[in-house]
Amino acid sequence: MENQRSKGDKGLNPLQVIGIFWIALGIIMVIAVYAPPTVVGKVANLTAGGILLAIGLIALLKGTRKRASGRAEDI
Amino acid sequence: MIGGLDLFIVIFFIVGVFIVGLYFKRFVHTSEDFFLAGRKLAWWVIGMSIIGTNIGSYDYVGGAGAAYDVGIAQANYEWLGAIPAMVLSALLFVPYYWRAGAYTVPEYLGMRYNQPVRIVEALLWGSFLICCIAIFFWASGVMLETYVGWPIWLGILVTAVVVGIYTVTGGLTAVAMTDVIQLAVMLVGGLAVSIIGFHEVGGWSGLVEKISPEHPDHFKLFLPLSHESYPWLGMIFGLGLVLSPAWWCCHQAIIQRTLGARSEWDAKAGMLSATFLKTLVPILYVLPGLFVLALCAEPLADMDQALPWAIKNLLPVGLAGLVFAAFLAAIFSSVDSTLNSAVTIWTRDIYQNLFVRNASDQHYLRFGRMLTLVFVIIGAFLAEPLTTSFKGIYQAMQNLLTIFQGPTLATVLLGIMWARATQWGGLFGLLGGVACSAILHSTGMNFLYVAWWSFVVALLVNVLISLFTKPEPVEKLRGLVYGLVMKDEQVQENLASRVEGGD
Repeated sequence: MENQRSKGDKGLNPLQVIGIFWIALGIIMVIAVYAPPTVVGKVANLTAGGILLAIGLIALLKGTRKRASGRAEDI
Repeated sequence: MIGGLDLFIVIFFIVGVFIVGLYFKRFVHTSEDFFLAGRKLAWWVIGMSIIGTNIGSYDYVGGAGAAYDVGIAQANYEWLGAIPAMVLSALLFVPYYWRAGAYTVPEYLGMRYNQPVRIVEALLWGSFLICCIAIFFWASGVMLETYVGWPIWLGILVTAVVVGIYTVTGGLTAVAMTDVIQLAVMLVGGLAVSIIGFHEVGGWSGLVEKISPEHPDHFKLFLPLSHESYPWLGMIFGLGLVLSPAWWCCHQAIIQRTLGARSEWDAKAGMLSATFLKTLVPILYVLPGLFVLALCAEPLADMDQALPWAIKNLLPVGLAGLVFAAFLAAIFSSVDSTLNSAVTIWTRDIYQNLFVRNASDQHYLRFGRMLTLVFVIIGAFLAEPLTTSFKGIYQAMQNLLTIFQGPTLATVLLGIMWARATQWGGLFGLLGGVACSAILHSTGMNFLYVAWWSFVVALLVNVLISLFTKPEPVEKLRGLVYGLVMKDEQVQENLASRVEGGD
C-alpha cells in the first residue's frame, strides 16, 4: 500500500520543497548584498546567501533524484 | 525596530514556512502519519528537528544575556548540559522506546510499570507542554512587538495561525520538515553574526584581550561554588546528572522524533547527529553575548538587551532580517513541536487510554487535529496571564520543569535499567519525587539542587518500595528492560545457532 501510494503521488519530494525554500531565501540574501554600506556587511550577506543557495541546490537535486526513482514521499 | 528589506525577509520567512508546512498535509492519511510521521523519518531529519525544537527564543535572548553576564560558562548548558545526556539517550533510552512501539514516553512507562504511572506522567507532561505553548506564544508576541512594532496580540495571532494551521494539517511530518528549514536559517544566521563579530573585535585573541582584564571569569567553563546562578557543584549534579538527562531522555517533544524514525538505526543516528549539531549551538548566542561585552562601551542595564544591541549595532541590513527570522524560527519550531507532542500525549495516553478505546483510526486522527486547534486557542489565551505571573520567560520554564524532571528521570532510568523495579515502586517513587521537588521549590532553593534532590528521593522511594513488593513477571518486561535479552536462554540459543550456521 505504501508503494502504491508513492507511485501514484505526483507531488514534490520533501527535499525538493525545502530546497526551493532555501534557494529563494538565499537569492534574497544575495540580492541584499547591495544594501549594507560596508564591505564586511556585504561579505556577511553574501556568505549567508551563498550557504543557503548551496544547501538549497543540494536538497533540490537529491529530492529530484528520489522523485525520479519513484520515491516521491521518501524523506 | 526593523524595516524595509529586513521586514521583507521576515515576512517572506513567515509566509514560506506556512506554505512549506501546509504542503505536508498530503503525507497524512492515518493517525500514525499524524503523530509519528508514519514512522518514515530519516536520521538527518530527526537530528535537525531535535535541535530545532530544543532551541527556543529564551535560548537566544536569555542565553546571549547570560553569556554577556557570566561568559562561556553559559555554554555548559549546551555542552555539559546536553552532550553526555544525548549520547546516553541515543544508546540506552531511544532503542527501548522505539522497540516498545510506543507513541509517548508515558505509554512506555505504562507498559513497564502500570496504568497509574502512565496517567500521572501523561498529566504532568501534558499540562507542562500546554503551559509551554502559552509561554512560547507570549515570547513570540513580545519579540514581534519589539522588533516589528506589531501589538503583542497580533504577534500571538500570527504565530498561532501560521504554526497552528500547518501543525493541524501536516502533523509530525510538517513539524519535522519545517524544523529542518528553520534550523538551517538559525545556523546560517549565527555563522554570519560570528563573521561580523570576530571582524569587529579582531578575532578570538582580540575578544579575549578586550574582555579578560575586567572580566577574568568570563572564559572559565566552571564558576565558583559561591556563584548565585551557576555554582559548579549544582551544574554537575543538578544540570549534568539530572536536568540534562531528564530533558534529553524523557522529554516527549525531543523523543517523539525518534519514535517516528523509519528504523531503530535512524532513531539512534538521529539523536547522535543532533549531538554533533548541539556542539555548534553556542555559536548562536554565547558568541554574540561576548561580542556585545567587548564592543559596547557602556554596561547594559538589562543583560537581556545584549542580543537586541548586537542586532541594532553590529548587523547590516539583510542579515538583521535573517537573524530576526532565525529568532522566529526558534519560536516556531518550539511551538509546533510542543503542540504536536501535547496533542499526542492527550490523545494517546488520556483520551484513547481512558475514554474511547476502540474507535477507528480516522476517529483518533480527527480528534488529534481538533485537539491541536483547541490547544492553539488555549495557548493564545493563557499566554499573558501565565507568563506575567513569573518574573520572566526563562524562569517560568525552569520553575515548571524542575517540579517533575528529576522524578521522571528516576522512574524511567530504573524502569529501563533495573528489572526488579516494580509497578508500585515506580508509582510511589514518581509521586514522592514530585512532592519533594514541590516542597524544596517552596523553600526558594536553587532549581539545580531541587532537581538533584527530587531525583534522589524518587530513586530511593522506588528502590525501597520495589524491594518490598512482588517482582514483575519476566514476560511483561521482555524488550522493555536492559539486559533481559542477554538472560533469555531461547534468544541466546537462536543467536548461537545463527553463528554456528554462519548466518
